[in-house]
Amino acid sequence: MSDDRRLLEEMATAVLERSQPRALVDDVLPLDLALWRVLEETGLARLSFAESQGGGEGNLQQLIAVLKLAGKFSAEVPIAESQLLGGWLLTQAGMDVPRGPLTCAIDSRLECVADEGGWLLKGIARRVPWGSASSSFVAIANTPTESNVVLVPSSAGAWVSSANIAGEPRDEVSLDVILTSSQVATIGASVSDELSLRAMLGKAAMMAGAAERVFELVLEHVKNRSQFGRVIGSFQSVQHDVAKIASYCRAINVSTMSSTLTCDTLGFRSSESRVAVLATKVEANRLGTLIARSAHQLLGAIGFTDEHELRLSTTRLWSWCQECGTSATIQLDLGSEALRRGKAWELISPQSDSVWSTQ
Amino acid sequence: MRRKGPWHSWRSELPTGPESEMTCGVDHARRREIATEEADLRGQVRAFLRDQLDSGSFVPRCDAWLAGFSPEFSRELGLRGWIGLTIPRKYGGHERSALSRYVVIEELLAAGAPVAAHWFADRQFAPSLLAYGTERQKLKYLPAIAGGECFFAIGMSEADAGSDLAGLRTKAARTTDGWRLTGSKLWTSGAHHAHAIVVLARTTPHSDGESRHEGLSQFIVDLPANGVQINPIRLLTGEHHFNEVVFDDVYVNDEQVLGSVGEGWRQVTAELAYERSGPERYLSTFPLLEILVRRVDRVEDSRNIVGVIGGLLARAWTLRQLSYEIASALADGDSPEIEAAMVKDLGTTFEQDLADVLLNAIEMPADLRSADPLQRALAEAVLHSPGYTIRGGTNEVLRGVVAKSLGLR
Repeated sequence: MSDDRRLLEEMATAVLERSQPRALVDDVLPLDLALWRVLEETGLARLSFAESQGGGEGNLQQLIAVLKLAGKFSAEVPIAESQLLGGWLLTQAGMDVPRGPLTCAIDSRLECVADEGGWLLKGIARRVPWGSASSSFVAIANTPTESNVVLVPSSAGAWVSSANIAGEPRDEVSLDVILTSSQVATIGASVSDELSLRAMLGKAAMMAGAAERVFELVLEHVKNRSQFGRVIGSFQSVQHDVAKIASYCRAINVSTMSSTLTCDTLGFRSSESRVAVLATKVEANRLGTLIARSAHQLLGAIGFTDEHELRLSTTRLWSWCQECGTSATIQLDLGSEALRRGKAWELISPQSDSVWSTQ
Repeated sequence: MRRKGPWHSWRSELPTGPESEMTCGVDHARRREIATEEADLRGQVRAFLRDQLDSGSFVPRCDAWLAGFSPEFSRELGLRGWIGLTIPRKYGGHERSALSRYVVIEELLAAGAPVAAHWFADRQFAPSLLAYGTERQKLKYLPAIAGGECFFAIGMSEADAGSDLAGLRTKAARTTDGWRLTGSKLWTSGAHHAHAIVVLARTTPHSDGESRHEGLSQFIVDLPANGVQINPIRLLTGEHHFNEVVFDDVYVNDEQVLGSVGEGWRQVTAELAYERSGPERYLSTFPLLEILVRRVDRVEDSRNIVGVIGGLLARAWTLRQLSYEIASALADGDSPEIEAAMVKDLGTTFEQDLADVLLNAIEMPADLRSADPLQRALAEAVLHSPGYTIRGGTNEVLRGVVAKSLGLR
């Protein structure tokens, strides 16, 4: 690992580790404003932005590495939404990235109409991560002829609170607001495809982190918990289950990192990147649920409580399976692509493995 | 400059396995050059396979590295320089990188090409010979292996020594100028076609208190040989790939000892990361998926299986990353045995899942004797599936290896 990456990960670990949530399951978690402030102070909140935006000029691999840690420590802040998604949209449109917790509305139906030197923005957005607690959010809004990136102050919308099964806010917002011309910019139509791939990759990375935390908790438990006069990790059936979790974690991790490298090298719009990201999310979903199930079996009743930290990561794995790409839909997409080409192997194995050529 | 490639940096984040410091002596420009060579090579292999398929020189099949026996095809590959890729030129090889070999074999396996004849010679015996063989042995065997004309069998398992290989009973007794082998090997793939067999035998009787891994040695026995009897063990399909190989006081001269006497265990276990992480550990049933995708319009109601196909492709893509990552690490001189054990567990489980999932999705009966390649491949994938998770270390043994690395045993 390069020294830069090691330092970055050490810093991100130090910042994120101490902020693990302690709230109960039936609470909706508040956005961790204290953590957000630390992220801004340390530069992690603007890691991937250009220097002209006060950013760290970090590449995709660095950002994904931080997202994995955010997933591992169940960070209650919109890092993926602010940098990989919303912030990226703003910079694509040539707009400035504001301070304060920024989120992104992917599932939205918004229209904007030019109105006396400004814009009238109307419509709704669903399941906006940390929506009502954010200071502003980014979305794509359409005019009859083109797509626009819009930057909306969160206080301008009417919010209905909701949450995923991990308690992370996923709020709905209704909008009927006037935006200034500096809050709206046109953008190419293909941007929404890339946005959904970015969301998928970011979520897979967070799942890799959550899975790794589950694995650590499982290993600690089976080495310390005794039954029948022995630590349970000495039982062969337990050993095999732990070994499988380790393999599953590795699979999510390696596939996430490999897709990241592909996207960083070729851009998200190459067909190689698209296949990589789709495959990564499907496998993260499948393995994530297997890991959660097996971990709860190994921790028994102890892990089935709101006191135990295990649920922070398992409920996230379950939630994130459904966010930014569900398996049934992605599998149809991948399968259709293979059938359209009439080729299976060549779809998953490009002739030139660009990832390897950049090592 | 001492640095580590990005793959190794990712590996350091894995929950298992100590991070090993390693040197990447190859500079960036050279790596790019190698990658271009590999892309060219892949293009050549693909074009060749297309021609071969079009001309009907082979029919794609599942589990082709066990069951796809074709000396003609092996010779053709040898002529093209696609066997013994990593063997030095002075032994008839091609001195290419380990990743070049990886590219060739993954293309051949994905296409279901008949590679069984030369498989063990190319994958297992040639690397062992390069590592431990005498100059005379290398000159004797390697050129013929690279030419696709010399086939090997690997004599390891026995009736009472399967997963517990160190419990083997085949003995080699010392004579004045050689050894006399007695015992029998079981499940020996391709021995009935092989020009030679490598036998792991006990040369020093096991005494109490000493590790059973001591006192084992490897011998190369040219076939046919006096005192060697090869009996077929038929698979549940009736196919003949496995054998019992009986050694009745077979004379082997000193020149046929592979490596050092007493070092047999270390020699056979040293290459496990190669054997357990290669593309043959996840592609055994892939030809079935390829056949299905290429002709899905003829399958009734394809809507039912589009998503199934997509799910299998996602898993295959992921396994390819896992397998390829280890191939890269091996090419850099690392030996990630734990990660290789994980790939084999995940990959062979996928081989079985692919067969089972498609058995439950394709609306045509699996049939080994059908004229329809899809029905045949489905039958091959399913009927061969018990082997995938057994050969080369059962998945239970592999999970034990992983558990041990985690400090659980």
